[in-house]
Amino acid sequence: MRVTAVTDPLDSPTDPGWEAVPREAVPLAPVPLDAQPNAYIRAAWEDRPYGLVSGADVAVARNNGRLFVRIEWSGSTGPATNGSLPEFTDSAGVFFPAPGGSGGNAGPPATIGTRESPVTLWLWRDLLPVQRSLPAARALLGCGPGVFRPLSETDGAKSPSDNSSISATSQREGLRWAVVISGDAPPADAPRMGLAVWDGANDERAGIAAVTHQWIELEAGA
Amino acid sequence: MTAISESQHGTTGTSAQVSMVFDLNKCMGCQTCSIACKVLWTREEGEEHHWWMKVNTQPGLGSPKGWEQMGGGWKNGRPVPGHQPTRAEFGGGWEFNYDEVFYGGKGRNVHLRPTDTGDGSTKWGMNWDEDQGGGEYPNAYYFYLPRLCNHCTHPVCVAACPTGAMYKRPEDGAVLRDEEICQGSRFCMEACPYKEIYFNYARGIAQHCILCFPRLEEGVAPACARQCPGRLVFVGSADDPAGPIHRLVHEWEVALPLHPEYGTEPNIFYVPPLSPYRLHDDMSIDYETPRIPPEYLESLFGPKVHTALARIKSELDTVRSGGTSEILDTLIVYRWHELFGPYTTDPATLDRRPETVAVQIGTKPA
Ligand code: SF4
Ligand code: SF4
Repeated sequence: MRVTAVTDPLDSPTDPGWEAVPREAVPLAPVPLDAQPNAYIRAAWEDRPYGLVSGADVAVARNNGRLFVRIEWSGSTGPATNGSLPEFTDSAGVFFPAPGGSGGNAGPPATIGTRESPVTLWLWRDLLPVQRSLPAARALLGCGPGVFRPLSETDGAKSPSDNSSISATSQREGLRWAVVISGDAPPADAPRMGLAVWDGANDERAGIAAVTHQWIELEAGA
Repeated sequence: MTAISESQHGTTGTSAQVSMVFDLNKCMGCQTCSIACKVLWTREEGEEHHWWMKVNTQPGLGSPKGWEQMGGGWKNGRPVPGHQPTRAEFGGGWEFNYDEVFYGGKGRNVHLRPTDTGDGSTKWGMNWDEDQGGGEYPNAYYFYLPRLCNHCTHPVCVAACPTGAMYKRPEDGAVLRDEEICQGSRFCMEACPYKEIYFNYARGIAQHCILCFPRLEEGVAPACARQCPGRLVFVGSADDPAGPIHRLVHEWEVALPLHPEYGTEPNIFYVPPLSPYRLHDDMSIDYETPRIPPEYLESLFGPKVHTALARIKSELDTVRSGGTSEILDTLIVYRWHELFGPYTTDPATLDRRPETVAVQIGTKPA
């Protein structure tokens, strides 16, 4: 997938600047059940479909060392209308081989990292009104499906992005989400990216997700 | 790079286990324990519906509503899928019409009432079915069941947590959660068969009873136990052969875990309730039949409940006929401090160090 250099940051999914950035349809499939990290999760989901979002349109832009990823997909339900709090909300994330070690390149992206080959996950989630003090996006270390940890300096994972540099802007129209997640661009020796989407109405969270089963190779473009 | 080891997904050995015994024959359902916990730990936004300690009336649907039918726990060594209780099933976290009453100029004719937030949470609460109980007049019955996390020996919540945020502390067996690591995925809530874990909607993390570990570390008993005016909550090690918990649980076998069939091996125990005899239709006493059906008590505390109750009754007979009973003397608790084992320090004598406590709650030891 081509990474388009742009002259202005494209923080918003409705920024007209996105029209000049090519979009690609990216297929998604469920994280494999046997890769789920414990017997409880495997038992709870063995008879229940998950990873319901089957694909997303993705565009990637770069500005001043910062990477902007625009993800657009259809969720299975619109915003709650009766004032009730949903238990799980829609969520999406992109991830890159984490620096150091075998850098996530060793395996396919379907497990969102492994213990030996972690990934850096930029995770956006739709926040509830009561969650106004929480950040819309965070950087996590992914060591397997749902085996996510906050990045810390002791992880030696200050780059590609520490938590504070990750941001996200989202827009919902009916069932359709458009989200831009941005952060400091990952190092050039790891020009590949994975994508995961969680359907909140189906109680998807952690490793219960739809994910790319092939890495998205990022190519520097003009 | 921090590797997340497999061992963090299971249970770890504990060198000591702090346990509690609640004598249900003395509990009067005053909810002082619930309030002591509430004001100490769950006063923040997002925790409105949290009752880490609460007293349910039995029989009843309890809190969350119908929790005994929500699954979870272990069966044949495998975790059992469970339902994740919703905010509405816990009830509480109610909104009230404060604006209308206090600022709308209608204070004389509008009354304070809960407003329905649309999720049904105003249709239940932790003591919604208080004192309803079971049976028919004149043989109605009920008793109180104070409930909190059991700090289980085989905590299925820990096994279900994908991040390794949950752990069992070796030094006192408290089942805790590193709030910095918790990602709010709530598998722990589903897996816990006692439904003792709550979601903090504002912070996006799960939370539950912490066994008042910052108090234990200072030699102070948990707030629910220390504040109980009924003097019925024992705190200490179940492994100390001279301590009351060991004697009540293991030696005399009159204190039992709740729902032992759930397989998590609770460390909270209950002395089951005695009950008055049933009345015949002509109001004469049926000395053969206790009013609380023994099979109901067995459904809560397992088959050992029958021998436990028989033991207490025979001790009562002994005392009535002029003898003495170590079991009853222990349960009477002549001296308040005898309840608390090594945790008798008066918290009023401590320096208050809230920052230290906050850091401890958020940090899992390496
Ligand atoms: S009662 Fe539930 S939350 Fe507490 S330790 Fe046992 S399984 Fe875990
Ligand atoms: S404070 Fe004591 S007597 Fe009151 S409800 Fe709690 S356990 Fe029962």
